[in-house]
Amino acid sequence: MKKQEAAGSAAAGLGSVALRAGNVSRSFGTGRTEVTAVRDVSLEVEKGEVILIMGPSGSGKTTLLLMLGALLRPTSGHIVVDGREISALTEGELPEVRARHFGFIFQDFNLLSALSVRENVEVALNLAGTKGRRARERAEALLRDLDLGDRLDFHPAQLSGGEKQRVAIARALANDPAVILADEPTANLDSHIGHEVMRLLRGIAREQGRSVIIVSHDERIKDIADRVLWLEDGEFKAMVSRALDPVCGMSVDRETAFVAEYRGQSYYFCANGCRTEFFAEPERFLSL
Amino acid sequence: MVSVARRNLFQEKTRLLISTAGVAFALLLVLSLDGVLAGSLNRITAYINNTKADGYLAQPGVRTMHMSTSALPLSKVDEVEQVAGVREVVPILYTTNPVVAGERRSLAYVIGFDPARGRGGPWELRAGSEALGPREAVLDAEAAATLDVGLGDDVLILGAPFRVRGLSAGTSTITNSVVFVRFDDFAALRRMPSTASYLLIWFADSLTPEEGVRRVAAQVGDVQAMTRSEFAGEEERVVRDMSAQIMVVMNGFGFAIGLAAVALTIYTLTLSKVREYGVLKALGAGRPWLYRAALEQAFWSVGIGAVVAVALALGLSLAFSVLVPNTPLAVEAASVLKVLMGAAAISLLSAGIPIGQIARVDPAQVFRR
Repeated sequence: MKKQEAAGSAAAGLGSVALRAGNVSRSFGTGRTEVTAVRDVSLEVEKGEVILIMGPSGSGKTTLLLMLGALLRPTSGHIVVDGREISALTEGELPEVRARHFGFIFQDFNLLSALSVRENVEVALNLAGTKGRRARERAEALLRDLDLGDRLDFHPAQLSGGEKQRVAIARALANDPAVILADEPTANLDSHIGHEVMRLLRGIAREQGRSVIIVSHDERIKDIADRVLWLEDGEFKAMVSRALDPVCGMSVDRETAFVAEYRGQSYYFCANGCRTEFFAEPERFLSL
Repeated sequence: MVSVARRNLFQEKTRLLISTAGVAFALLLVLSLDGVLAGSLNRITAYINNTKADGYLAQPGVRTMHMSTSALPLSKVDEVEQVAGVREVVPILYTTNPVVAGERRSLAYVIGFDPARGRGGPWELRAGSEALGPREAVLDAEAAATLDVGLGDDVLILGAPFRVRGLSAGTSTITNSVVFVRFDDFAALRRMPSTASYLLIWFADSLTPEEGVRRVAAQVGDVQAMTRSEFAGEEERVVRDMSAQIMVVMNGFGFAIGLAAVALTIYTLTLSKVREYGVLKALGAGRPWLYRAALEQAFWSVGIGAVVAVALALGLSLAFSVLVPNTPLAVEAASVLKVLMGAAAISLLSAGIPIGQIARVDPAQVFRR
């Protein structure tokens, strides 16, 4: 990928911090049905940093990502991007923030099926106010940088999964955002293409100075992440002392988990039931 | 600027075709009804307009030919000729009567005129001659075809046998036709030796029809004097008044069907693209942008249908002139304008549906699987 100037400006008071979330919480429902998806989470993301947020299903990862990307308003707390507190903005002010400060990469690509590859990137530029030839040329340049120069007039249905994700990446970069938010970017891709996407995301951070926040179950992404954060029950928890239950996949605290030895190795379980199940067919769980 | 709305609309050609056809045929209904009415009015006033008379004189209180009876003493001709600026006065006789050929009948406006004067008779002949001899007639060509008669055949007019000497064009409507006989034949059969139904007046070039009619009305008492345009206007008004309510109702049906067709299309289209609208919101599309997209979608849907409707109406007009010449379909500018404005209103109304749907789309849903 070609080098580009570092994204975002050095906003007053933030220095090299692109995004800051302070004591952010989000609840759904009220009264007895109230559920807190994210609980008092704080986070600072440096410019050019790759953050990987992992956690079990239902831990609040997507909810956190939605709040960071100004798609969901926190119940409490504040979020500041490029010196601007987005959590305090009105609904009418948010589209401009989404268009100019964030780039989204979705698991399902979410390309617009009626538009060509070029137009999918161009429309993102149009939404931020760039029109006509300028938008078209910028879209083409981004796509060529991602080796999609010969796919400009193709439609999404004619692309492979990897090509679609590259188009999505080009779209995410279109308006020179400070922060890229990626939700399971490699989930629908084979390992080879998944590696390619990870390499691209790392390049976006390193060479372009953008912050990349990734939500994923993909362990491989740890290899490109500057920090790995574990979100569970809506809170960040340290990963160092954690292990994965081989039966249910849940992350467990080693100190409090059910432990068992098998062939000289320790395994950690969330409950006695999982441990019992493991020993009934250990080879089955180890081969997964 | 990328038009997401237009792209979405044109993505599925079948849906676009069905929607366009629905709108087009609905608007075509409106144009066709207006066209048939306009065509009928043109035919109904064809005689008045094609005489090229500057003014018409009738019995006091009579302002039309259609559904009227007028009788003036022939002496009025001399009186009118004395009015300064009057160049020529031609009397005609008029009544409504069926033309009979065997078992077949065709309702007609019977005009009695003097062939020697060259005024007040048929203006376009398809066959034969207008130089009528005693008990000879010029029939409308379409009416003659209906009666299965031709040149040289005998028909009954005013209860008496007449020989068909000529066949005219442009003298029939959906309900009746115009048949021309000699003034003296008409007067003798109706026992009206000193009577005319209407007087046709031509003024000198220095006199406007309006001024000429005013002078005649002032100098010649006990008459109804009108310009040709006034007389034709009154004739049109009678027919319009008779058909106004049904036209309003049928126009309403047409626009309602068009609205339903486009509303259904846009509703299903927006529904199928709800996730994409969520993506657009996540990418930074604000409400003005999204509402503009919804309006654009509606205008394209209806606009294409409207253009197709006008094209079809023009084609239909041509087809009618060949296949059903006694039922002309005239596509007039006012009708096209009405349809286009109606189409614009349909667009605005139908855009309300996607606007409502889009406003409720939660951009966060694109993250949900």
